[in-house]
Amino acid sequence: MTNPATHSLSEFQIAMRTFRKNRLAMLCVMILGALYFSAIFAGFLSPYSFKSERREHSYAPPTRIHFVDESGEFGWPFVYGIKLSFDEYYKRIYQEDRSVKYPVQLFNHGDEYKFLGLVPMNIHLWGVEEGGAVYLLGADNRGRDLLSRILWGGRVSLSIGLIGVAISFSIGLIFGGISGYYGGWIDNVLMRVAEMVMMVPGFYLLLALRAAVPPEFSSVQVYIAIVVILSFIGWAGLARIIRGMCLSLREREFVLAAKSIGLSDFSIIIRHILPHTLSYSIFAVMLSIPGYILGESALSLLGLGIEDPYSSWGLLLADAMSIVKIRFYPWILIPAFFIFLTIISFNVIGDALRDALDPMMKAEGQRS
Amino acid sequence: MILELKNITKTYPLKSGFGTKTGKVVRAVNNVSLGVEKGESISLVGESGCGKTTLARVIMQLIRPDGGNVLYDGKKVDRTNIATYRKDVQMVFQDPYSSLDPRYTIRRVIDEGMALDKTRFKTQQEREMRIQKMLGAVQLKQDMLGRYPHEFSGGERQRIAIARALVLNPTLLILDEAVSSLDVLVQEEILKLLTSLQKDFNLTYVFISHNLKVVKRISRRVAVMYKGKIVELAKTEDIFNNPLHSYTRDLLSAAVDYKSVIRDMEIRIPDGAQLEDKGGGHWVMPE
Ligand SMILES: Nc1ncnc2c1ncn2[C@@H]1O[C@H](COP(=O)(O)OP(=O)(O)O)[C@@H](O)[C@H]1O
Ligand SMILES: [Mg+2]
Repeated sequence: MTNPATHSLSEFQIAMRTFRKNRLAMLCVMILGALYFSAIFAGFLSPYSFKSERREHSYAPPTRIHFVDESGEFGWPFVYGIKLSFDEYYKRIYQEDRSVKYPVQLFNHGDEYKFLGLVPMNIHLWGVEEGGAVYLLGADNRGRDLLSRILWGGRVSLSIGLIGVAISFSIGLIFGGISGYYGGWIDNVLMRVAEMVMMVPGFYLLLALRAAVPPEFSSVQVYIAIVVILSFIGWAGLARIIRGMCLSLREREFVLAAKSIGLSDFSIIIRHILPHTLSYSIFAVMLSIPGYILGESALSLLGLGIEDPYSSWGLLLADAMSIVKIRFYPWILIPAFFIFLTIISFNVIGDALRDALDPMMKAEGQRS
Repeated sequence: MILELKNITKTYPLKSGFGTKTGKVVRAVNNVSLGVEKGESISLVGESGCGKTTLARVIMQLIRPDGGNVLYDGKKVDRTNIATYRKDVQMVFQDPYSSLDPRYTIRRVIDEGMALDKTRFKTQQEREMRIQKMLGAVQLKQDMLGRYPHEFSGGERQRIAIARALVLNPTLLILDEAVSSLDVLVQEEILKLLTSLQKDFNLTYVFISHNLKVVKRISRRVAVMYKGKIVELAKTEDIFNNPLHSYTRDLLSAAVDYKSVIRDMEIRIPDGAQLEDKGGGHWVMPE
């Protein structure tokens, strides 16, 4: 069948088309795409590993990359060496050491890392050869490259939202689905539990649960614990909404029609009920991811989350809690910009999705 | 007798304005008994809220009645024979905008029931042929199959819903307000279609409507429902020419000038009253 009229768009496809017309939202999709891409390939894209430190470069300012050399000729980019001196207050002063030049190298060999967490590798997209140092966004107090730490930290901060939402959403879907489909006392019990979780102020619950995590946990275990804690807080709201939708969906005539033609309860839930909660869930998920990112940041900021030498955006910001440091080393605030960009992007996308899906959800949910 | 309803009762808890239970109940269907002959067309008429949809859903085994039985071919319908029952009895729902899953193309809507029954509809091609045939039967064009419900008008959707029911080759078709949401011209077309389908596919109809006028041309017998009870049951011409119950007369005058039913006094049905035989298949509830 080649006639275009025979294949038309579902309401969902129409909604997606509306969404794609939203320029701001598409920009945000691209921003997030770039952020997630750089987090996935953090090892390769960053010039250093997250833990390689050079104490003599503590709080080194962003390194300038030069394209024009002393003779005024334009050429391949390079950096100068870094010269450290102290002023009369023993404050470190970094200057360019014009006597040495390190050209920027592509695919240079540097710190070991595991490509995609699996394959051991030491090739980095870019960097300078040993001896020289390039800190595009400056260095932190232990002389670690901030850019590298931001890219590595993105792995934690960006994945925590996705994994957290995946867990809380699964719990919410199962609890909400069971509650809405069976009703009665099951519904009552589950929803009272959900309300209890929702009643406790999220942040205190977060702290309380974090306190319950044994102190001897390794960094990976802490990470997992934080994800679980965050999703434990997040599921209740979703469950309540999914439940409400299931309650009304099971009364819809197409569900009754499906039953009439002989579909089992299970097939009905899978084919005709849950797909209709997804349009809501898609943007609910988008709008709830920032909560997880902020939650992780808040915990790490307070020193309760990811711990040095590992990196996360919240942890990087913890260094920026002193106004004096911000005054002298303003680049340590850059991680905040990444958090901000991510959260804004998720919110814009979530809102745009809501707008695009709205006519469809009206059609699905409000006619009885 | 292909279908027999015996003393069907269904109550719903009455909720207050705040959605809390009040302890009282609504008797949506109250002790209804009715027999349907094979090949006939019987209508269920009454103002909205009198329990027609509830009764239809009880017949379809979509809700469990509080009391009474549904007999099909003389056998009580229960868990053991529900699967065969579902193949034989199908329903067209009240709201064409809600009865088709908006995520499904028309092809999937019609195919879904057949795909479940691998013994009757073995191959994909066989099913596709049957889909095409049904689409022809309800007078829709073939190029509609790949489209989604939102692109169709109410009348077209109702035809699709009819095709979905017919594709399983049922014996009994329950049509719950199948034309009520459509405008008068489309109503005419669908009624005409239903009349011809009944002949072509040897169908038995239970036709539900709140409007007596619509019922006149499609049904042989009419059952008038009021507050969950059948108050009069007779041949169609007797209902129109010789209505015995005062509620039937109200309905008739309302149908003529398209007004809602106006009543000076509440009609009371004596407790425990049964339909009385007035001869010639004419039954009336005493007042
Ligand atoms: N799911 C339900 N819960 C509570 N009450 C209901 C429900 N379904 C129907 N009713 C009540 O039962 C009565 C009959 O409804 P219904 O069978 O839909 O009437 P009709 O189809 O004749 O308009 C109405 O009073 C209605 O409010
Ligand atoms: Mg109804």
